[in-house]
Amino acid sequence: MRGRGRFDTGGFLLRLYVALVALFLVSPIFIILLTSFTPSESVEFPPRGFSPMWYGRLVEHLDGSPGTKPGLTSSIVMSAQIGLVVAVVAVVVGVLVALALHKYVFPGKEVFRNLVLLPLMFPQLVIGVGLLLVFSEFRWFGFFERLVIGHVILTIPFVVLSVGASLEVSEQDLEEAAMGLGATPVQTFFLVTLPQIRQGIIAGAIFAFVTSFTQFTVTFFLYSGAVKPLPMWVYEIVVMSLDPLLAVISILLIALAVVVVFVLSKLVDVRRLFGGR
Amino acid sequence: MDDLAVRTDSITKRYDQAVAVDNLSLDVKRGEFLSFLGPSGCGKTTTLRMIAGFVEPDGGTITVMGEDMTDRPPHQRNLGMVFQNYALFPHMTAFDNVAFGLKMRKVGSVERKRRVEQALELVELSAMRHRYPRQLSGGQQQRVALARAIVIEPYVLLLDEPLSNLDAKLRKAMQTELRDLQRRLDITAIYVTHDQEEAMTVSDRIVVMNQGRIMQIGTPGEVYRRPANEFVAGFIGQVNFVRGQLESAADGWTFAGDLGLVVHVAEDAVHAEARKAGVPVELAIRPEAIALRPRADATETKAAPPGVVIRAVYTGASTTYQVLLDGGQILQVLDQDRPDGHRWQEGDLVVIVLVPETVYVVPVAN
Repeated sequence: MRGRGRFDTGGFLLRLYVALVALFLVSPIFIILLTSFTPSESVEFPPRGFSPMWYGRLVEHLDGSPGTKPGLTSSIVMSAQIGLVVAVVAVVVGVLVALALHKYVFPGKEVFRNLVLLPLMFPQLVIGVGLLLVFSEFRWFGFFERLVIGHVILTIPFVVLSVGASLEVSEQDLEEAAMGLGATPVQTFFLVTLPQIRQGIIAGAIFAFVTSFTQFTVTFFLYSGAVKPLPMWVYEIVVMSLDPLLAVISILLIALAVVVVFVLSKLVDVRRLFGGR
Repeated sequence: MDDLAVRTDSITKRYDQAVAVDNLSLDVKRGEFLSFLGPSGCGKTTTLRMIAGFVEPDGGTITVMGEDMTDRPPHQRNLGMVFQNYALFPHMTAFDNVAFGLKMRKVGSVERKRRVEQALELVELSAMRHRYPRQLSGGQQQRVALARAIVIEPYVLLLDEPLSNLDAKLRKAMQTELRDLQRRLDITAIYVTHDQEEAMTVSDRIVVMNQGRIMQIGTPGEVYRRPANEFVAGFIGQVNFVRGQLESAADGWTFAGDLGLVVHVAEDAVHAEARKAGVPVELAIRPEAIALRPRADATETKAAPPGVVIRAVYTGASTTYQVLLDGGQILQVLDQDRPDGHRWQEGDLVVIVLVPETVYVVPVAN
């Protein structure tokens, strides 16, 4: 037993360390938040005052008012469209992959699993360049389809992992029980299996959408055309100047992420979801 | 043929090299409660799953109600399965779980409601119909699973260790209830269990299995009193084995045991296989077939070898003794609690007396 009232050096250092790490992690967000309220024309830190004027500028951009950089609204719409299509495709493909990996034993299964999950670790730069080379060489698809394909490759692992985790905890006997009661394999899938993995599908779809919506590297290589996906629109501002509008958009994206994580945590046990393969 | 519910004709299942079920042939009569009993890995569950259609046999045929089911998928077999872990659909209420099979059969909603409610009433769960499985106790979940299986009026009810997740007391109650229900509905039931007492309690007939083969098929009385071999004798209840020789005698047989024990056994108390010359045999003695007498007032005869009580375990209704015979063998002896409260103490010198009608001579397992 430690003496009462004696200073616990180890415990104090541990707490200090944790506090510093936490500070380190959130400080960039905090800085961006402060910057987004700057009253000046360019990014500066610490800001010289407090003004929501750049949030007003954002609204002007969305309205397409004169003197603003055009195309923000259409960029958001386009990224949302891509994100939705990506989420749907990634879920359909990802669920099938997860089911195959969960249910069946087949030659090369481990290789297949690793290939599917590879984009999690593989440099996105390489994926982007590789797809670009193939698509241009064979003149495949328009840019929208190209972006969808690129993003689907990146987001399938999320769906496979989250649906796989749901399958892992669902009971195998349920499907047999359904078939024993007269359900065809198709009925069994839709009436019994699908409801069991619903949480994994929702989580995977949300991850896929958010990843696609904010994806830069692969998007950079694959997009073309007049309307730009949101990350490209933002990038063009960065190239021209360090505009406080960036900070405003960043804050809104962070807010979106926070909302998504919050909703997710209400829907599913996130820790369990990524606990196992 | 007409009273046959299920027939398996030399079905076999191999997993890699291991044979799970070996050439198993079996007839199940209509309205019968039949149990597969055996240690884990004996092939009882695999056999049940082959009948249900979840496991494809490597050879042989399965017939249910005269229809060849061997190549039919599970959803076309019309069998009611109850699983060890209940396997209730967690996203459906008790009512919807029971209604599932009827929906798959496209039974109209009015008729469906009537039958589901009838089934829930049968298992005394009408009040719980709107609860989800997680809101029900283990016993209640098992009842819903049972209602779900019987509501479709299956050809056969298949039960895979359905009570093994329940506590001992509830299990006993459910055994009786299950048996009553099966009789009332006059439904054929095939029951898998590793618990010999449970099999004895619920079954009309027991199929004792080991290593993918049938060791014996018989009524609870037959497998207990007339076990087909050493394995069955040892698996069902407690048993003492004494090696010895069998000789033909007037009006039966004389068994001369290794311990100097000589017993006259009736003709039908010797297994057919054991009667063949040259087959090594042993005497199976149930613990309750042995009586202990004080050494002093019993004349030590060949039928009453001497020994000493080395352990006495009192359990209320009965006492279990371990008796070390002078020959060196230890016998288990079970004695009912006596009206006068007499119990043997450790160290008491005794002789053992057999009840000849209750012993059985079996061939030694190789």
